[in-house]
Amino acid sequence: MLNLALTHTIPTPEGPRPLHVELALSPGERLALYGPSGVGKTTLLRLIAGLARPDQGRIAFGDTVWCDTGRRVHAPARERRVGYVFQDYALFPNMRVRDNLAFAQPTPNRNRLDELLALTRLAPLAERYPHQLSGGQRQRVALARALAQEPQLLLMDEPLSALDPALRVALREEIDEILHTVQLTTVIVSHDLGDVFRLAHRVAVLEPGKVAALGTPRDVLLPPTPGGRHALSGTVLAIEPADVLWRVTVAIGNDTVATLSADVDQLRIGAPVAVQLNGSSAVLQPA
Amino acid sequence: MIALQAADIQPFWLTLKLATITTMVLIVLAIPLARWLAFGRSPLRPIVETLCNLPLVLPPTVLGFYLLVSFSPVSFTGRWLQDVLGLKLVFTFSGLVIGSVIFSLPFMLQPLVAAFRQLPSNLIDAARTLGKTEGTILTRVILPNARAGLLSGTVLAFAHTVGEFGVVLMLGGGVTGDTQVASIALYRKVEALDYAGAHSYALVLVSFAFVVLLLLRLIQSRHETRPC
Amino acid sequence: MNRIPATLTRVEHGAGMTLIEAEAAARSGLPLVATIVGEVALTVGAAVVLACKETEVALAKHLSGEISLRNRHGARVVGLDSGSVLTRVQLDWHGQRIASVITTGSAQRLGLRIGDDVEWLVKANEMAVETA
Repeated sequence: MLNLALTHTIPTPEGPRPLHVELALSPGERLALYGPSGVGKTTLLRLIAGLARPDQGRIAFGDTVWCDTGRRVHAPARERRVGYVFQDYALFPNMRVRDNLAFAQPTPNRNRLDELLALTRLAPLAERYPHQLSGGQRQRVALARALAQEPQLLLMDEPLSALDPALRVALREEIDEILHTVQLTTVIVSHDLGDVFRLAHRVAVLEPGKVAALGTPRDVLLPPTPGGRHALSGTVLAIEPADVLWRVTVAIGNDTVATLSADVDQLRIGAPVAVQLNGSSAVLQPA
Repeated sequence: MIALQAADIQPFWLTLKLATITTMVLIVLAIPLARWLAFGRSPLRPIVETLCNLPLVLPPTVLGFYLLVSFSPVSFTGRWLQDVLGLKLVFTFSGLVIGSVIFSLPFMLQPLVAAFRQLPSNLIDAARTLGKTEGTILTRVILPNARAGLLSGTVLAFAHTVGEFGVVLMLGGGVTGDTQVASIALYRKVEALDYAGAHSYALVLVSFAFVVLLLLRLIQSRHETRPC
Repeated sequence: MNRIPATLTRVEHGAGMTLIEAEAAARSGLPLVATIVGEVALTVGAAVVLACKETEVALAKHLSGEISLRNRHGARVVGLDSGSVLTRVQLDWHGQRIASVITTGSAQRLGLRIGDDVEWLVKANEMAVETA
């Protein structure tokens, strides 16, 4: 459905760097672009949407060539019918929720608009202005507006990154259901594994300059772990004697864990440490 | 209005007429110009912006002098304007309008450009992906969300035209009923040692300036309390 | 961490798990087992190191009856280091050092003395494999 093969210069802290990408999406497929920030994920979405022109290459959707630098073809964004959910939502501050959606509709259709408001559970908020909404509500408006234009392709840029973790999980499931309902070919940019596994059928792992891996999230992002221990990276916070052992407290992300350890000679407070977790001993509790 | 007679009201009407027409011309002129300055890609933008802002720092008489010279029928441009376009711009109301437009341009342009530049670029990109033309984007997205800038610019340009003196004196010559606006009339009253008349003009102009600045303050505070 | 050099004798995959059997390098006839979450590419005959944390090593004296654990071997106590709650017990197992950390109460209940013969026990899922 969507076919692209292009090279584009990405500005990075180490100077401009060419990114080469070749991707093909089948109809209804959801592809995640996963990778560190600054690798060019958002730029790639903007190239697909027609908001920027690639240095070189070709983008086609079905039989329509959107962009072909060799033949000097470039369809402007407004002709591509691409639904774009921006990371900062980009809702029109001067329009109520309903008007944001109505503005997006190619032809006014009140019934369809009400359907969309119901699908995204926004009906009670339809008369509010964007600044009267919470982050999660704005995110749903952004998605509803992108759908209101009846797009042939949906692009989502870090759709959940601005939300706190609890809301993130709930909204992720909601988006999953909505995407399941509308069955649109979708490209989702995320650097969150939860997003990738829940929302995408396939994932393209972007590294500086290239697509490093392409496949199902399971195949690409869950490589076999030698020895059966999974390492989390953490930082040593405290080393305290505990009888014949040492109690070591480690920060992993925003959480801390304490563990008993016999050998602490190599550990330094403030230094990075690999926390190995035995695959069968980890205890999981819904948080 | 202790000492204002019917004939003395006339300069005020002329002032209002000049300010209204100037402001309307500026709105039409400044919106596309501000849009180009804020969102365009041309490397000429800083030069054009600087030229437009020159009246901010130039003594008004400098501008008035150049306009007088170039509009004068003895100059090449003045003759061309008169012979080809049939425009007589020295000591006429049309000439005043053109002079005022140039002189008040930065006061309209600056708030507009600032307001446009403050708009998140994603807002415009979002409208583009929604299939909207650039014209629709201007009227439905850019201008409604730059309302405060447009209002400030309008009020400032209007007020500044009311208060201008140097350009209208050089270019207009202060012809009664034609180009003698309130600020010139005040000057003439002082020249004629009619201090009572001068006071009346001055008081009206001061009150007007106060109301305008208060209005501007209210626009700004209203804008601040309504985040996007 | 206890690290025991060993040679793989059997590798079995299934249900996203890997079952490993190995023989300690210290002496022949000392079997060890480990189960690993994930399918790990390992070959029989490869030299590996089996690792387990000291706190996961249990000790027993005069153990009788059936027990599911297969990592159970006789060793001699060569060091005792008692704290108020925990005691570290150093063992000699055919020249291989094994350390076990148990509660001081349990150490007293077992009446552990240097020179005692004990059995050390580790569940298969607490054994990790490091390739040598």
